[in-house]
Amino acid sequence: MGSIFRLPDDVANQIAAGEVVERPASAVKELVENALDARARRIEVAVEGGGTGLIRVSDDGLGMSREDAALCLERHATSKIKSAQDLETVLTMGFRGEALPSIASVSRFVLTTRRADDEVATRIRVEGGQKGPVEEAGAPPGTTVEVADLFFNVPARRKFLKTPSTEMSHLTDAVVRLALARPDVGFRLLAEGRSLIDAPPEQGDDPRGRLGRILGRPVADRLFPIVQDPEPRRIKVHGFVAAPDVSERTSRGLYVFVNGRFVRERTAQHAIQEAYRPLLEKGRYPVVVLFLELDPRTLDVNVHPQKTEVRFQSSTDVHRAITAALGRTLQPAPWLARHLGPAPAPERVYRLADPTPSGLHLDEPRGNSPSSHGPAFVERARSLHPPPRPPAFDAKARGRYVPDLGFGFGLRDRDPNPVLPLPNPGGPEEPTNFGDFSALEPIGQALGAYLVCQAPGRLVLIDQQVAHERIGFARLKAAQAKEATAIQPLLVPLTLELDPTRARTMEAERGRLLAVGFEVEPFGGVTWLLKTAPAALGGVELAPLLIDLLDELAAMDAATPLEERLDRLLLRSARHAAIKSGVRLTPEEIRALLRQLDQIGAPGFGSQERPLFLEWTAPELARLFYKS
Amino acid sequence: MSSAPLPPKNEAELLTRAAALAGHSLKALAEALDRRLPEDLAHHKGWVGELVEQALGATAGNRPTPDFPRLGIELKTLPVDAAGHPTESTFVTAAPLRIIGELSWADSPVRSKLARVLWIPVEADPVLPLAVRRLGSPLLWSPSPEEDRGLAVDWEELTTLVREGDFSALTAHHGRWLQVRPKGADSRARTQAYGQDGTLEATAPRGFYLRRSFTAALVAAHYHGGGGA
Repeated sequence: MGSIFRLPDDVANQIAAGEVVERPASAVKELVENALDARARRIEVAVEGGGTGLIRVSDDGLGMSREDAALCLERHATSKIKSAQDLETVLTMGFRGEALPSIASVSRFVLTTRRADDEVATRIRVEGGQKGPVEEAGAPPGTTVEVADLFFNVPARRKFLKTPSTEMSHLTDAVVRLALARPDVGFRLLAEGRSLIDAPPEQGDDPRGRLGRILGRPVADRLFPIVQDPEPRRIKVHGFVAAPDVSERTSRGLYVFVNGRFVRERTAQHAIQEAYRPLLEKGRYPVVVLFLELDPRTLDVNVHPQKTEVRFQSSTDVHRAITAALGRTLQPAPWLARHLGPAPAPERVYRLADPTPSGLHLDEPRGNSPSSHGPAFVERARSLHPPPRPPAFDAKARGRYVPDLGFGFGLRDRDPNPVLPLPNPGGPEEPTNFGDFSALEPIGQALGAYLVCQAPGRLVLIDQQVAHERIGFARLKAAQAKEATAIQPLLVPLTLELDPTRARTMEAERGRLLAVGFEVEPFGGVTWLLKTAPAALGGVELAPLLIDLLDELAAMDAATPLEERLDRLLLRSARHAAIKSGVRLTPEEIRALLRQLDQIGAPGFGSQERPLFLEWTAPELARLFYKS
Repeated sequence: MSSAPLPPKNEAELLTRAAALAGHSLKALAEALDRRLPEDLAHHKGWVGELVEQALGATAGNRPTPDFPRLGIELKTLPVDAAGHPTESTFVTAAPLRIIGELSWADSPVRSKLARVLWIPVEADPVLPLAVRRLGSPLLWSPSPEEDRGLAVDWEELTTLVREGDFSALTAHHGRWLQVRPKGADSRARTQAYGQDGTLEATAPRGFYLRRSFTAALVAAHYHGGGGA
C-alpha cells in the first residue's frame, strides 16, 4: 500500500482556509466581495467578539437558486470564470471558488439565499465542513451568510488570533477598503450592535460623501481630486490626494485600488511617497485614495488566495503613471510654497562664532562678508566653490564613519576606504554626560536644527528637536506620576470625528489614553470627545496628536508591557510638543535648554531613542583634517 | 432628557450632570429641554444661563440666594471666544444700594455668591451661529485666599463710594477685579439710595460684575493650554 493519500475534502478545505481565511477580517473581505459580485446595492456586516464570535454578512444582491446554493459550498465551484483564459480578463472580485467552502470548513456556517423571483429562500447549515440538509426558509431577496465560532475546530489557528479588539480593527479596515472602492454600494458595519460604519449608496459620480463617512470629515475636507491627464492613457489614475497637513505616521492612509480591488503594492506606494517627498517630513505618510485602471491582461491578481497582491506586467509604467498624475495634482497646489519654503540662497557662508549678544545662526546667509571669528576650516570653506553643503552622514551609523563634508574635496577622493574616528553618539556611557550640558559653551545654532557647543578639547553638536523631545518626555513622565495636577480639562471639549478603524482603537484604548492624561468619551457613532489633556502639553494642537496616539496604539504589539506603552504615548506627545527643527533660539534659550537637559537626568525611552548629541575630541577632529 | 431634572443632591451629582453637558450644542440642549432656540441673544439676554440652569436643576434664578441653595453653589455661564477668552464681564449680583454701606465684605452678597461657583464655559464666538455653540467643561471653584483678599479690596473701594453717596464718582473704572455698573434692561429704571446729604435719591440700579481679566485668569489657571489650545 502506497504512502501517499488523497486528502479528504474537509481536510483540503481546512488547509485552504489557512490561506484564504487568515483571520475574521479576511472572512469578511471574502463574503463582502461575494456580495459585490452578486450586484448588491446594500451590504450589512454585523460582528460580535471581533468576528471570532459571529460574522453576519447580508446583501440585497441576486441571490442563488437552490442548486447553486448547494454547489457554491463545493471547493472550486464558481460562477465567475469557466476557463484558465478567463483568468486573464477577470474583473469580478472573487473567482477561485475557495472562499465559501474554506470558511464553512472552519466555522459554524449558515447560508441563506433567495433570488427575487423565488418564493422561498434556501438555507444550508455547515458545521466544521459537515454539510447539513438543504432547507427551505423565509428570507428577503439576497444572501445572508452567518459565520459563528470561526476556527472552533482549528485550535492552532484560533490560538494565533489577537484580542477581539485587534481583530475588530483589522475587520474594520477590510470593510473600509471595500466601502472606499464602491461608493455606489451602501455599507453598514455593526459591532456588538453598535454602528461603526453607516454609509448609504452615494448618488452620482462624486465619491466625496463616501470619503467623508469613511475617512472622517476633517480628512475628507482636505482631499483634492487627482488631476486627470488630458490624453487617454493605457493606465488611468484617478482618486484623491490629501493636503500634506493631514499626514500620518504610518502608511495606513494609503489606499491603492487596482481595477477596484484594494491591493498592497510596493510600486504604487513608492510612487506616491516619491510624489510627496518634498512636502512631508521624513517618517510621515500622506493620505491618498488612488484608483488604477488598466487592462486586466497586463496584471496578475492570482498571486495569493487573498488577492491583496498583484503583479504588473510593467511596474515602471505604473510607477510613471502615478508620479505623473500626482505631480500634476500636487505641484500647482497652494501648500507647496509653504512646505518647501523659499528657494535656497545662491550662496551661504557658515559662521561659527559671533561675539554679538544677538546670537548666531550658522545657517544664516551672510553674503560674502568675511568673518574675523571663524575657525580656519570655515575660512577655507569660504574660499571654495561650490558653496558648502551641510555634512552628510548618518547620525545613527555605528560602523565606519565616512563623512562627506561637501566642500568639494570629499574625503573619498583621497582615500576610498578611510578609517576615521566615529563621532560619539550621545548615551550614558559617553564622555558628555547628563550633568555636563550646562558646562558646555554654546557657540550657536547650525542649519536651524543643531546646537553647536564646545567644551575644553571637545566639539559637541546637539539635535535641538531631540533635546526638546527628551525634556518634554521627562516633564510628561513626572506629571504623570503626580496624576491629579497633571491633567487639565479642555475649556470646550474637542470633537474628534474619526474613521471607523481609529474609532475602534479609541474605544479599546480609552483606559490607556486616560492613564497618560487624555480623557475621551463616545459622542455617537465614530465621533468622540476629548475632555482633558496633560497640563504639560499646553499649546499643543491636540487633534493631530490624538490621531498619532491612536495609530501608535494600534501598531503596538499586544505583548508590549503597559509601562512601555505609556512611555511611547508620552514620547509621541513630547514629539508634538517639541520645538521643531528650524526654530531660531537665542543664546539665552540655548543655555536654558542645556540647563534643562541636566535637570531631567538621563531619560532614555527604549528602542525609539535617537541620538541627542554627537561629539568629537580635538584629536579626532585633527585626524579628520589629516593633521599630523 | 425631556424636562428639567430635580435639584442635585450633592456637589458630585451636580458636577457629573455638568460634565455630561460638555461638548453638547445649545441646539441639542434646547431640544432636549423642549425649549425654543431664540433667533439671537441680543433680545434674549440670559437665555443661555436659564437653559443651563434648567438642565442642571437650579432653582434660585436671579435671587440673591445661590442657584443651588442646598449646596450653596452659584451657577455662572462663561461666554468665551475661539481663543478661549471671556467675551464679557460676569454679573454677580445686584448692588443693594440702600443698605450697602452697612455691609462688610464678610457678609456681602458678592462674597456669598462667589463662595462656591460652578462655571460653565459656553462658546460665544460671534461667527458661530447660536445653534452650534457648545457648552464647555465645568469648573467648580471657590476663591483662593489671594483672590478673596483682592475681591475684598475692590468691595471696600466700591462700597466706600456708595457709602459716601458719591454715585457719580462710582464708574466701571473702579475696582481691579470687581466693578459696579448700571444694571437693568430699561435705562430709565430707578432705585433708591442715600445721597451725600443722607436723603434717599433715585438712581439707576447697579450690579456687581467680575471683570473679564478676572475670569480670563481663571481660565488660564484651570483649563488646558490656558483655554486656548
